[in-house]
Amino acid sequence: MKSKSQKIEELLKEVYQIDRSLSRYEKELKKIISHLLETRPDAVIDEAFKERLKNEIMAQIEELKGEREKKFSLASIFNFGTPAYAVAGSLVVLLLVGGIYFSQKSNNGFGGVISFNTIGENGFGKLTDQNTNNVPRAEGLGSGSSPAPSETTKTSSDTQVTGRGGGGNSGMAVVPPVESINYRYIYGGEEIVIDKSNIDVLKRIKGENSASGVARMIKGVNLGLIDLNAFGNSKVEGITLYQDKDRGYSVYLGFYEGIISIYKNWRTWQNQSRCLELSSARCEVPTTNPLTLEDIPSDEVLIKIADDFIGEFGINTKIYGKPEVSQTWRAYVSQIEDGSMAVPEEMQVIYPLIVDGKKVYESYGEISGLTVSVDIRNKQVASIYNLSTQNYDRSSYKVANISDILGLAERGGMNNYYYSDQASKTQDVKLGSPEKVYMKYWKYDSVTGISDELLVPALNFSVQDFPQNADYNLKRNVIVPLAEELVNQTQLDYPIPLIEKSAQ
Amino acid sequence: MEATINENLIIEKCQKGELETFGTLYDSYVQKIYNFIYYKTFHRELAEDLTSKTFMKALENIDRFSSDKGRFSSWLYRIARNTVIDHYRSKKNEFDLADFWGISDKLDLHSQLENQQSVEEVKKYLTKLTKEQREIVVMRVWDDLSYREISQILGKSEASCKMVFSRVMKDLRQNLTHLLLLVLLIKLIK
Repeated sequence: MKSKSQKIEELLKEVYQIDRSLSRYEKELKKIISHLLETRPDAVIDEAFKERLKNEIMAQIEELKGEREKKFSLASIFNFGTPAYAVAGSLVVLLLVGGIYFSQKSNNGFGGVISFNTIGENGFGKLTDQNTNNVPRAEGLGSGSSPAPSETTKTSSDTQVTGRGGGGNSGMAVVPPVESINYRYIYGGEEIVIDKSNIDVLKRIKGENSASGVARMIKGVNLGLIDLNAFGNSKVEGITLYQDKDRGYSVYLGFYEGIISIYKNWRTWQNQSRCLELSSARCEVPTTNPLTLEDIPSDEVLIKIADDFIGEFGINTKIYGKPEVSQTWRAYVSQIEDGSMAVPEEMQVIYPLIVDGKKVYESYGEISGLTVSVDIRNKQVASIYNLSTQNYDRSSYKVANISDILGLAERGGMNNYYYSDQASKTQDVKLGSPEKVYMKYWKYDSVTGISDELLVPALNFSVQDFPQNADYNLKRNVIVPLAEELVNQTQLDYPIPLIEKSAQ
Repeated sequence: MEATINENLIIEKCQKGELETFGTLYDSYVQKIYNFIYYKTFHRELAEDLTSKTFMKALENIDRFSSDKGRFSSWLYRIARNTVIDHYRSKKNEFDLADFWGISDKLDLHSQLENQQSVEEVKKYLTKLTKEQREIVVMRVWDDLSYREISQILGKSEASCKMVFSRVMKDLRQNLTHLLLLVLLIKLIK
């Protein structure tokens, strides 16, 4: 950075190079240049604008890359090499590009960029369902705990998804132990100060413009059995593509929901549970039957399997944090060791979604993000889910007061319905100082049956000194949303035991 | 020089498909381009809008950039300059406007300007210059661009740009007494 006098000298030198006679008026010229420099307006760039524009540029980059590259990487995975498949291959590639393309047109991006659009206060209406408190159950062509593609608008991440598609805590059923413990959460951290009266709640934007764009692309194609032109004003909600090879995969592109799920093409994989049951000679069931704790690869191996697969598919993980292996199954280790429980067939590697520098958690305390389920027997990826466009509307909502927040933390957070009158004992656990996070929350409208996917600023109170033989119902993380309406709603919902232990 | 070499490597990567590296170019130039546009518009929101357009155009056309034809910075500033010109032309197509300086005081746009005080004072100098002279002075003094860059942005020779600047200094010196009196008068009124 040059000083003012250096700059003046430099300019004068240049002027004299052209017209030496001007050096006689150096004093006056210095005044002129000095005044010009002094009158330079302050052009202070707004940092928020800078960041916003960078996000937009990165989104645009994703779009351009989608156009330039994805068609090659995905097309190479779905290699339709034979002439018979050529037309279908072109269509598939077209759709794939279309699918990726749709996600970018409105500044969307799969895995690469998060974008925000600020709207007015309370812009999403009431955060809670005004009609009923029922939590919907997801069914259909789903995958894991993410919304099911065909019925995603009716799902809740707080419920288990059933149906074809794998994912979630799939594999052999893991049932909770009969005997249980009631846990009492006690806050033992530092004083919490919340210096804001409002917080920004985010709502994931889902689009249909792109879906109609994809519909336009395939409308002219007569597939023989179905004339797509007959479906006037039609929109493509989603399509499923599959690899026709041994241990191939299927890819579901959810255009409306803005999601991609990848899972085993069940036609080309051996049905392991049937093989285990029938002991057929045609089956190649590796390793032990059933699996033992020794069969579970280390976290490093699981993460490498996930990383390799993600790399092969060209999935951008820029907006996700360092992958971690879900430890949920460990709650059942004691039952596995005594033989009353089977080792899960699949383990989940989660790439935590990071929004505004904060991790996103499910309301029940699990980290939320791109999830890769690894098949333990084959040491191969079984499914990928929670890969979605990350574009949000942002709206301001009132913050709950600190005593209500702490009260909810000590009741175990949202949806902590577990309470057993049969529990053999009650155990106190300590909650540490909280960390600022986002909580994924499904705002369900029981009239329309549609759920909006919200990210609500929240506090994560981790359980300190997590007990080794903890019961399955003990949360590692107690997530408390900061939105007043949700905290108050949860106070109303919380089930009260018929007889308090202390009153017995 | 080293910065230019690195810059060329980044651009090469962009052109080979590693578009994420464009983020580095954005980080290096966003403030400079914003300033460049702001000095032509004196309006924050407009400058932001035109800065966005500039970078989007640059990203979409990065394949067309060739270091043989000049520096990346000059190419980017040229896009910014054209974006500003396009904006003013679309606003008032009966005039050949290149920037805010060409706008009549009667236009609404003028009342929306920020930094009014600076603008008024600078006008004493700059509105007396031709469009070309003004651009060269602003680029050299405020944007701190080299004559090489200015020449590439305007499509002129370095020598002619230096000549223009020198002539402006000569003219301003001749009017200096008058100008200083005027500035003094404005300060007294305030």
